[in-house]
Amino acid sequence: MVYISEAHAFDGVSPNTARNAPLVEEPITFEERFAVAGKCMVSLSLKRLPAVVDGIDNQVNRNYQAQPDRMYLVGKDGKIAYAGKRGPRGFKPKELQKAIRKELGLEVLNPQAKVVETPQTEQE
Amino acid sequence: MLRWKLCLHPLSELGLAVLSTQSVILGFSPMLCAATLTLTLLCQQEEPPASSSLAPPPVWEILKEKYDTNHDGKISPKEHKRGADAFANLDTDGDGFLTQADIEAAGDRMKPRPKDRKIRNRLVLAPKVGEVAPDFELRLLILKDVDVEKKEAAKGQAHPQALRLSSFIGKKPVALIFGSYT
Repeated sequence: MVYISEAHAFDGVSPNTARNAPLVEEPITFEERFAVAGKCMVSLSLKRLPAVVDGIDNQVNRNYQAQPDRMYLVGKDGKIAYAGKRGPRGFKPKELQKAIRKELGLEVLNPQAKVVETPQTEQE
Repeated sequence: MLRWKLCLHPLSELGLAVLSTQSVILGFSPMLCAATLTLTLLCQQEEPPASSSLAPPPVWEILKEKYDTNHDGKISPKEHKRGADAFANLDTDGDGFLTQADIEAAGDRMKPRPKDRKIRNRLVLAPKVGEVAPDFELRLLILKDVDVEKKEAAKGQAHPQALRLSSFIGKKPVALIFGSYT
């Protein structure tokens, strides 16, 4: 995960203050963004996923034109193996999944395959 | 609106997942070879909930508690201190003060204002397939108990504070999923 500028900060250019929406001001310091990122990962039960936080200068966001969300796969050779289009319309996990499997030399999964849920357990 | 469901087997060495405006179900399935794992993603677009006309959002309460230091019922730029852009975004009537009326007038809008040109800079092109991925070194978000961190540090297992993308070259592919809480 690369945590970037808020998509819908309530003081931003495209606010979302609907009920149940997380109410977040656009961070103005790196420490603020870092804290919001942590809150996000905990709130969404994503603690086990490695995450990095973009600098407050938004340079990585800009380099990847990632706002508000976007996915890429970088191959072992350091080159872009998959470049998703900008979200939300371009945010397509199935495409990333296909690209990952191709990169790993695995066959593409049956799109109808069900996902089996397993309980999350902490690993030490 | 965010919604996640996470199905997790032994952790993949592939990178991560982030999502922002869509709900994603992630599944990791161990393969025959222990070194290779696959990521199963299903995505469900979730429409943002209909705005509530019954309960106004508590944005004003948040702002008032945080910034109305003189308790006069309005917030001046000097009290707000988060930059002119953020202030202007909230100052619906443009009178130079943030009030409850400003917030209520805004409603649950999600209509984008003029695009944030500071980030969506069309002069910077997104990297394409086959191009070298722009390198970066960013601080790693580590969410562990302080006690666990101390134990690991004592064993010499302290996690790096920063992660450099190019450190994975020749080792493993990296999935980059950019997004945010909102």
